[in-house]
Amino acid sequence: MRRGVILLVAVLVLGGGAAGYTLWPDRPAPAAGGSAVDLARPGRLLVRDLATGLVRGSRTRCDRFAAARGTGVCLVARPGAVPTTHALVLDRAMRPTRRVTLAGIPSRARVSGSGRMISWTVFVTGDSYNGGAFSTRTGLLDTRTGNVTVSIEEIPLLKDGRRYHSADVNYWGVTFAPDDSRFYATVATRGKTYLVEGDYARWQARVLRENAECPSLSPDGGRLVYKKRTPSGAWRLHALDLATHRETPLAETADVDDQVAWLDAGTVMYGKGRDVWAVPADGSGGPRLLATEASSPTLT
Amino acid sequence: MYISGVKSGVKVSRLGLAVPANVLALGTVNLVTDVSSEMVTAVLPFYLVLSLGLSPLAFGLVDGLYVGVTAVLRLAGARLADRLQRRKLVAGLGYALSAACRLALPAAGGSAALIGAVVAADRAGKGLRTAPRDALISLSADPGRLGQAFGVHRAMDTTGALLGPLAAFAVLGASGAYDAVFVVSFAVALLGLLVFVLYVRDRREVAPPRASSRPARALLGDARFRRLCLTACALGLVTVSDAFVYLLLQRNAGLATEHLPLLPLGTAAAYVLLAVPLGRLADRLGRGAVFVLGHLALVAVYGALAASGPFWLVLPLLGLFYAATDGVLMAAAGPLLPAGSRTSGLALLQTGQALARMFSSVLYGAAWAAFGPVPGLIAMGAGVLACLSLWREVR
Amino acid sequence: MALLAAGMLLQIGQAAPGHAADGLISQGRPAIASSVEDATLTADKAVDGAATTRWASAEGADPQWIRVDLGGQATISRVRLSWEVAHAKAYRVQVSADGTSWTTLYSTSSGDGGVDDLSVSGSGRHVRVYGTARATPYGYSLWELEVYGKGGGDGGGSFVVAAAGDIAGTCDAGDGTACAHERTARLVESIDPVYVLTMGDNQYDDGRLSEYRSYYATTWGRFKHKTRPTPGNHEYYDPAGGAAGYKAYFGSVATPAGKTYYSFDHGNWHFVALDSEQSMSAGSAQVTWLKNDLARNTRGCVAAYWHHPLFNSGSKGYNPVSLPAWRALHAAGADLILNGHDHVYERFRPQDPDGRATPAGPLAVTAGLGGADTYTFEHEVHPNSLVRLTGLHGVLKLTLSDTGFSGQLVQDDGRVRDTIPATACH
Repeated sequence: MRRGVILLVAVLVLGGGAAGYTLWPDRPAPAAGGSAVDLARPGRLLVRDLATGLVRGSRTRCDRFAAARGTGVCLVARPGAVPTTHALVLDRAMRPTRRVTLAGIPSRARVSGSGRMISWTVFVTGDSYNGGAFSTRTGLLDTRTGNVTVSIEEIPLLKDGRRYHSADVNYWGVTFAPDDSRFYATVATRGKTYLVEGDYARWQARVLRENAECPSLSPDGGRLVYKKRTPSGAWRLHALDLATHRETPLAETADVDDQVAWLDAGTVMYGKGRDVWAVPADGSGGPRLLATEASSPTLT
Repeated sequence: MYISGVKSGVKVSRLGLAVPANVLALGTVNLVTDVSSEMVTAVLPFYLVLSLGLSPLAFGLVDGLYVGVTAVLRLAGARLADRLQRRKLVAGLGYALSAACRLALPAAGGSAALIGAVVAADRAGKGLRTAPRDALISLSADPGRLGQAFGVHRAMDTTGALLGPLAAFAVLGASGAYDAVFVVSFAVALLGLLVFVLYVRDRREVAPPRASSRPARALLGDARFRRLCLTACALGLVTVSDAFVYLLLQRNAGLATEHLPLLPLGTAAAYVLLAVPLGRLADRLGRGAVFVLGHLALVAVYGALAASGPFWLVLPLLGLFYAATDGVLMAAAGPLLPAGSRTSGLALLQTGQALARMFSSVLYGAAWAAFGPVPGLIAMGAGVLACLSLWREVR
Repeated sequence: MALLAAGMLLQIGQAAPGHAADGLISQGRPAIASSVEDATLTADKAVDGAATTRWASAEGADPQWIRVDLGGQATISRVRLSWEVAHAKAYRVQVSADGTSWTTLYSTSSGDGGVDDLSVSGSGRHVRVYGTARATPYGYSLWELEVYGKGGGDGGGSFVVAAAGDIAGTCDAGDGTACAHERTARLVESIDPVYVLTMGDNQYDDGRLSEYRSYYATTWGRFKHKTRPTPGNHEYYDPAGGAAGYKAYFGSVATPAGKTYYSFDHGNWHFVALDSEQSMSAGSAQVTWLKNDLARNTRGCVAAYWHHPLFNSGSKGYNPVSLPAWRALHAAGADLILNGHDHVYERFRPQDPDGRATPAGPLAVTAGLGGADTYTFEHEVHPNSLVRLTGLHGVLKLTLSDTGFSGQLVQDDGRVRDTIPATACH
């Protein structure tokens, strides 16, 4: 009898607490009148607010966000037993102009410097039963023709000069060159990851080197910054000079799991912990804090 | 003929469930606890990728480590439970540790290492409690009704696992925040712990604790238990892991990868429905017979997969396999184990089986890579049939 | 029952006057129009013999026309027009031998809609209704356009081919109708085509020779002598080397000129089989060969087929790999493009390689329902996509004449699930 009473009280207290916590409005309401973001205005740094999920200064909620020259892409997760993602194409005033439904969880988003090409990566996870197995799916959207390539995994891939055929190729982390056709990305196959250079117009890709993930091309197209797995298992940001093929570790020594974006011609920015940091792209200097409680930095 | 030599199973009425209160209490605890843990499992990929910006890759790599952690702690916890004759205490510590991890998860922040540690601690809690809990079940029911007792427990446990993701996405839908899921999960886990403390009674055997400092060696000295362990491990080696079964099904059925997580639900549903009837059948017909039946269902699963059979056939068969073997094996092993080291015995059996299954994944994965999926299935199926002939020895 | 019989008598009575010897020679013939109001109101609906379907032009524009190809030279005695509400006030009925220069047989500027049953006298192969002034703000719309006369004919050299991709899983003919590619093979048997075209992924999982022999050979292998195959990505998973099993199984049929791409002719049709797992980039050996092949072609109609579709509303989306081939085919006025890869059926309106709808472009069909388990449509629908079907297995049956083509997607239970309207070759 006494046990019953204790249990009843516990159910009420725990149930009430859980319900209260769930339904309590813990998220700040979107800032009123703050939609002053113009994606066509060059040089503005935008970040996603961690607490609210809003792109700061706007009323648009995204899980991943990127923008350039008046075009934005916003990935919104829709969790569930079969998770889906909406990839929203945004106009300069952050209004959605197109929605592509994807299967998976948002991971990376990019817009080419001209605003023409959009790319995204989603994770398609298994579940607890298959030990965290996952695959990625990377898509491209050409805003000029409207064509959507749901997965680039069928692009003809050259490895060691020969056409590579395998059912297990996974791509992620695309970055575009200024010509809106050449791009860099990561491909994983048979347990290894490689940096690839692709060409949208010619629809071909080739393997450049091993162990380089989530590349990001400098505005002048001369350098790539990517994360490279170190022997300890942590990722470290490295820069690759595309002309000399010289690889330089950046001064950021922490384990960074993000696709960097370029703040200016010599600096990259990235999410680390709960904040956005910047570091020179030539190995000099040191990391500095750019924005707190933020992610998805992008420069319009 | 029954392992225990007691024919009391015959006396179980066909209609009355008559499940001991302690088994029902443990079932309830596990139902509630599984709701709690599956809530977290369901949202963890979203939380890691969306909230923390981590790659699942970084997370999946350490999964093998958890199997090891669980194995070691299961043995250590069992040893402790037997020595102190305090099974409830050790199992309770396991439940409490897992509950604490629910709150530790959001507190770990964005550090992959800390999150890995929390998940490992959660698995440690699970490892700690499994064997003492099964020992409690085996000591709480009449030996002739152990099949039914384990059946009821496993059915309730799996029901919780099915409800967990539903609860998680409901909370996520209502709040839009992952920490709300963790907080609710914590509240549910506390409730489970409370039911455990209030309603589960410890069972101590009359025999004094064993003095043996090497319980494993002593246990395996018993010929019947040794053969049982060997058979279970040998069968574990030829049991194709669920991950491969679902992958094959998905490929055969042309299902999109994103629908893969739905397949285990079919198996779990069949498991829930069949666990009790098969447990009772085991009590009446003999555990060996039902255990063999379960493995024949497994061979049928392999056959259906090799012939590109439909998922509505494979999933119930796989559920049947689990329902006829998982609890039934514990029910068979319990009475074989000497007083005072029952927990260690069950832990040894479970650990051996888990390690054998892990090794089978490696074997089958290699066979798939070399010869395609079908030859490996045929070999594993032949292996199951070969092992079953061994089983006759121990039934 | 009585009502129905009366209706039929009435129709026969209407068709009777004057020209008892002259037959209806326009029904089911390829018809095209200057425009359509929407995808359901196409030109072929005016010559399909059904008074409940119609052609309608785009709204609010003059002039507009619809024309039908009688399939050969004909003597025309009567033209019967059943106007919808959107009728012409001023229009001409014209005839042409070549589809270029037109002779007017009838002309009016006071059309009142309803049925215009016109006695005319002329000869030619093409008949055109040319509207110059609309009676309503809508466009021009005909329930039926019927041409009566003698001649025309069957177009000559009409023949049937069957086409599908994504065919043989790991079951065989011995499994009977439980095996999807055995069901589609039986369907192909009933169609009895001149050729069987395969659009790749003929054999899963890796297109090994052993797999071809165990599965494909027992079902679709029954048509091996008349099969003109192409390989897909699964053929290239063969550990023995890219498409090794495919080449070994089909032999010279798959590589008549030593390459996995080739062409052949039948009747007035030129068929091009391509390999989208080999480089298809501009300037590649395959595309260079294609351009030369098309330049040498003397046949009036061109069909090309390979594995990966360019345009696709299915799970795989847009795949630019065949864009240079599309450009070459479009430039050469190709008529039909057939693909597989996505395990769905999808039919597009004729379009150019950049996705702009134009009657001058090839009509593309994805027919990846040969036996492999089907996929779903989860993404955006392509703007030119007209028909999308999945969750079934079937074969594309194409009827090819000297001047055009029509087709049907036939499901493995014999039901027709889509009809490709009669379309004239470019």
